[in-house]
Amino acid sequence: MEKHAIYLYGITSLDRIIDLNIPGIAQESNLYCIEYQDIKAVVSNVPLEEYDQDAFAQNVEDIEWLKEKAVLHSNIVNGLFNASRTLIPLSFGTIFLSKENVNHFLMENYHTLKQNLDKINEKEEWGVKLFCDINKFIETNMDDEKKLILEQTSDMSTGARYFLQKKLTTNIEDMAKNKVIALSQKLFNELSTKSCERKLNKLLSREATGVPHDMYMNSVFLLNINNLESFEKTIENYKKEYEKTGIHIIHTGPWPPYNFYCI
Amino acid sequence: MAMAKSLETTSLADILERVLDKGIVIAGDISVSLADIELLTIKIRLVLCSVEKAQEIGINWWQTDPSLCSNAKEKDDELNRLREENLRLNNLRLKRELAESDCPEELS
Repeated sequence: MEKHAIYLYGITSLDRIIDLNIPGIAQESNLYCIEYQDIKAVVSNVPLEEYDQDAFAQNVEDIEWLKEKAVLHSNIVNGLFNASRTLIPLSFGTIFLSKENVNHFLMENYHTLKQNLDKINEKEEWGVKLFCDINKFIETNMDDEKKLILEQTSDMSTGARYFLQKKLTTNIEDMAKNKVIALSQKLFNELSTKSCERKLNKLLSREATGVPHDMYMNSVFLLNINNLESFEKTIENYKKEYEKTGIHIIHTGPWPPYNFYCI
Repeated sequence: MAMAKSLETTSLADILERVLDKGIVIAGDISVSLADIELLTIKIRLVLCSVEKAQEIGINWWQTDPSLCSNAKEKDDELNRLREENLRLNNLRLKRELAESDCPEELS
């Protein structure tokens, strides 16, 4: 290979056995390890002409390239995670100019890396997102509030009633949204009791998710595998209870713990 | 293992959210500041959608390939611009709504 850089996928304990016999993100180099004390970094070579500062910055602007490489990155990291069950999964595009620099990175951050490895040992990340079709929710879950509006406006003149009802209908939407947010919090708290760590991430727009409803919760949990069953049971119960009210709960996993390490 | 099964149904957005969502690259000599991750996700989704749509209705690929048709590129740019504008406004709206209501983001 021409001049190359080192692409870092993840860090695990030295004693974890992983299959290195697979191509890295640039197909021409297989994975290999750079060891330091009792930890190792899983890396592969990448051509400098595609991955140096300028080329890389330009390449990520190319959506097709970014998509292909990001998915490759994710697949490779998944494989490492499945084999090792303990992996610090690095972000897309963590690149060093030489092996010495990777070594230096491991040495400088050794204690932090060890702490993180201990924390995520044999654990997995699960994501839970809650979406709501708010119109359906208003239709099916706001009867008390609607009744109240009708009662409050029953003795008014037609004109006044029309305007007030219009205003109150807007209020109903806000009330419904608050109800969904409260429900999200309840679910989050309940799932939290079954997890080691948890986080709330930024809500994503419809365009980003491709789901035709607004997102109300975007949460991630670090789970001990023993708790997975009761974690999923809780989600199933919520799904069942609210399935006819426009609430959609989507959970995904197991993921490498992308959201639960900090270097 | 459950991984294989669940990842099939996992959307690209989920992958990108994890793999790209760090804002800054925390380690490494080469760092690149990715634009808004959400925007990237949307752009990728748009590319995927337009490909699927074109195949669905049998449009010839050269008619929609921006690099081969300047007219298509202009429309594409315009569409992207509108989507981005729409996203920005949506975000503003969501932020306002969340600020007005009890925001669950304070829980963590």
